[in-house]
Amino acid sequence: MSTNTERPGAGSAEEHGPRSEEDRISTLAVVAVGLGALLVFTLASLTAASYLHRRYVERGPIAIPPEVGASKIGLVEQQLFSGGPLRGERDRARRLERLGSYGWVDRGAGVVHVPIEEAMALVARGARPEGAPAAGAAPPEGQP
Amino acid sequence: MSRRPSAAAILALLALTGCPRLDPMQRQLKYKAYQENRLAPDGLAMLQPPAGTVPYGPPLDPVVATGLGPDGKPVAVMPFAPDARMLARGRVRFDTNCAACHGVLGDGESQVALNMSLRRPPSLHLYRELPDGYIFQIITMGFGLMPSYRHLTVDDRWAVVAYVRALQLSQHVTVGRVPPEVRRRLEQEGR
Repeated sequence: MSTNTERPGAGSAEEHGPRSEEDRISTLAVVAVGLGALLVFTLASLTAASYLHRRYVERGPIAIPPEVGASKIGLVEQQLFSGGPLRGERDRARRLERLGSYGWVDRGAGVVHVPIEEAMALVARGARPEGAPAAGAAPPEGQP
Repeated sequence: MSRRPSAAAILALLALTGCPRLDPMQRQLKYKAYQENRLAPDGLAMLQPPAGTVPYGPPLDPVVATGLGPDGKPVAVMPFAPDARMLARGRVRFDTNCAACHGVLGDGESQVALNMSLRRPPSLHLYRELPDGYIFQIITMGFGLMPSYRHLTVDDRWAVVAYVRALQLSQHVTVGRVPPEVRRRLEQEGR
């Protein structure tokens, strides 16, 4: 029984060119290098641990920084979403009410808001928001 | 247990790590698209579709698919007129995918926005002058911190564009366009 699996594309030995030179590396040397590296890392770790321990004994325990437990400082500052009524939820209810009602946006300029259903009906009839480009208008420079 | 059998067991386990993967499903013989396949008449693994094969749907117009015109610039107006059904669909998609950050009113006020310190989602009402194709591109490709919403279908993305236009219109109407009785009531407010 042959142990070779017939694979498409697998050619004869001549297709692979001349055989490469065999490795002549002493196994003992490889093991010795590995053990030596382990020894170096162990000594380095012990040295670092003893240095840090000496520093710790000299300075005593370090106080917890006041930033711990505060809001995260990062690209998006995280705040807890739980606990009591959220301002965003209250705002959402107010905005939903505004979305469905008439009211002033800028009384001096005579601008009002209308229910979204009415605006949707207007858009369905072809209306566009003020300032929105009409068909054939020149697009702005740049891409999103 | 003596020490010798334990050492033998460890050595046997170590020897097992040198075995090839025993699960036949992990390494399977298969063809990739551009590989040679001697079984195929043309020798290619990627088979030709049978003669007479037709696409199951019409090809999508590039303007509809990308929001860009033939000149590569965003189209000013969406390639088809929005109707009530499309706007209702856009409202559902907007409330599901966009309102979490942009707010139900599209003014950039939401609980998520409150938690964003550096760059809040902008109010969509400040960008009424943007072309429809530009908004479609932003939905498709994302913008700044906003990720791509390419997972929405092309129709859904255009529906969201139409609903954004309705939102912008709803918050910026001249008082002369509202019904007279509403106008009278508004005039009486705040006096």
